[in-house]
Amino acid sequence: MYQGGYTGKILRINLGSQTAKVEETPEPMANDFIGGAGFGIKLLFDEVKANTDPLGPDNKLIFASGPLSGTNVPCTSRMSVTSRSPLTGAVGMALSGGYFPVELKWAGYDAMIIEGKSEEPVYVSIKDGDVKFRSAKKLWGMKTTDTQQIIKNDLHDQNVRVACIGPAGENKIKIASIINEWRAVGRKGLGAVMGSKNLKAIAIRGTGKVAVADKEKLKAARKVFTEAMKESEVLYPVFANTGTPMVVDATSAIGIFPTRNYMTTGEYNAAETLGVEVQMTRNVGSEPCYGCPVGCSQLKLAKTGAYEGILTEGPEFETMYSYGGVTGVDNIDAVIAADRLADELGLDTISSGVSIAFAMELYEKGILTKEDTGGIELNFGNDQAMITILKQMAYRQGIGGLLADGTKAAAEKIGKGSEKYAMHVKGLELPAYDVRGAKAHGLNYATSYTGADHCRGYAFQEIFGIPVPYEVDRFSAEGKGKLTKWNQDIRTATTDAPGMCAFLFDMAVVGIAAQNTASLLEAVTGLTFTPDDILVAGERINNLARAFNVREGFTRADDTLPERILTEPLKGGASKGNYISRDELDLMLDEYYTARGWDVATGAPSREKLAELGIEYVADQLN
Amino acid sequence: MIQVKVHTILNLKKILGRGDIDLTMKEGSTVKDVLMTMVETYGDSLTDQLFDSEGGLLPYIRLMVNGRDIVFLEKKMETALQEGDEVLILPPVGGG
Repeated sequence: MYQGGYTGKILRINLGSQTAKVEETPEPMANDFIGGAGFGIKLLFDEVKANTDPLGPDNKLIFASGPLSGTNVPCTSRMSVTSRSPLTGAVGMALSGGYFPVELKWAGYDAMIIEGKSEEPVYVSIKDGDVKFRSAKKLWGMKTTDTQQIIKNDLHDQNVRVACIGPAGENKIKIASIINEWRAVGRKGLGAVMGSKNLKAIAIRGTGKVAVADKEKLKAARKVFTEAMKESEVLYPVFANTGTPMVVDATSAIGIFPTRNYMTTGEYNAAETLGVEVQMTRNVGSEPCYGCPVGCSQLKLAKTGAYEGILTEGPEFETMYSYGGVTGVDNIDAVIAADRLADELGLDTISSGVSIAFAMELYEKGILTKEDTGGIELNFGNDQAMITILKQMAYRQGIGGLLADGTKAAAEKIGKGSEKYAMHVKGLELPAYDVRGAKAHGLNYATSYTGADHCRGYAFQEIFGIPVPYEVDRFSAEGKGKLTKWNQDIRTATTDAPGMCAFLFDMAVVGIAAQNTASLLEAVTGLTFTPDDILVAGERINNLARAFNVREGFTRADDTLPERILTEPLKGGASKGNYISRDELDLMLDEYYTARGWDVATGAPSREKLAELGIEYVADQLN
Repeated sequence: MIQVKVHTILNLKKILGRGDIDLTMKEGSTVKDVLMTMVETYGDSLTDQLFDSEGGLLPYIRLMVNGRDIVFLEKKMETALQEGDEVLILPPVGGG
């Protein structure tokens, strides 16, 4: 019996039979996997068999908020969505904020498992224990903002929160996102999984509360946390006023903001046209997630040319890269417009931008011709071409159709040696860091259980110079294996699983993260969590996710980086001359697998390690 | 004399009025000398952003010479600069 934090209930929704049932949240799962991404990965491993078609009815989509979500702990409206990714074939896990995560808890659920496939387009409305399956025929084809509004009207409830797909998800585009409010479950094609199930949206409203086991203890733990927030050198007022886009300036300064499909990183200062100063001229307010006193989420209004009057939430730093730096577009208003368009169509901004940048390089190299592009002059910096192709992607039309499933699939179709210009790991496009100048971040891309994912083991030591747990030389390969394991485990355990915004980790509690999470969890749930328990839970979750991938056939050979990263030194900027050689990658991988207790030859978790983590049953499925 | 470039961003850039500054320094000048020269030029508003009340560099200020963090340079703040070197002075940043 849970005392707090957990509602103790999981909602299982079968779209085929259009039935819903409530199951208990197993207490051992709470203890061992905390919640959020931990629950998602545990349920995915146990319920989705090897070789399940990611776009077939047997794949599942698991929404899970954390035990802190829905309480008065700030910045904890976070949820994970987990599935087998159609883009990578590996674990697909992505997170979002906004209000949907707390509504899930207030409706009474720790998690929601979506399974099966509806024969007709459908959406599911949930109000506490009342679950209804409703026709989405009239919503099919609709963009995401309209979808959310029409559902609110239909339900006569303007405060219901909606997670939905746009045309990209309906068309099973493998880089389709799920949109809730202004936020996105952006990456790994989870929108396509929804589309494959004919599930247009989930609307949720909760009227309950999340119990707290020990209010006095929580008051004390919360005080430590909020004091750390107040003492942060960057959270207030800088981050609160500018949000993530200031990282354009920071990464440009150290020569790792990627430009023109990584051909020209460091050779010019993209911050001059895309940096904070320019962005602040477009800011019109903020749109905080529930319970967030920071409000980093910025609303921006395009002010010039054909884009004048377009409003969007963001673009976040990653999108300044994907529709700015990596595509060579220097028009801030075009980036704002592309961001809005992608969210309306339900496309991952990172993967779509990087896929367009890939095509731009191929066009400039003559591998793609004007005939291939349908007459589009696909040079770097052509913002109109970028907007046109984004639209095409969502409907699998023209050159956009060729790019709609990401760079790996596109390179396989195009051939002609194009794969060496495709910037992905395991099929997931690289986020906004040229890791030739940040080698632990590169190792994280190579080994993250989701592919090239900056959110899993973010190497803040290299990017921001934060000396926790120690100072790190970003150009060195040595020591990065152990560091990457630590980065992945602590971030999983203190943000992805309990339901805490990752920015609070970097900017407020980085030095006390495990203790902070343990104190908050103990107070909220009444369960026992030591800082060591937190780190071990992070390790357990990463091992189970890795095991899922091994069961799908992934090996050490898949833990690699794009050829450009491995062979071409950066030609300019503050990281000039650096790259990650194959020998360095091998050295880092050896060290990483050793630190993890995994087989160095295959990269598979050992039975001993799985047993040590209390999940030995997993080993039986890895042979 | 040697020519040294200084690059900075965000709030430090605001104080300086621009992100890039060219300095002419004596041969053998160090990273510390560059900071002192800049503080003399830009006064308390810059000093307050870089140093604590006892004159120590604030722990979250990141200094680099040609992209390498001075923490990993043998002489750290006393590292002698060469003609054309670029010194990065970075305030605390987060997000991403």
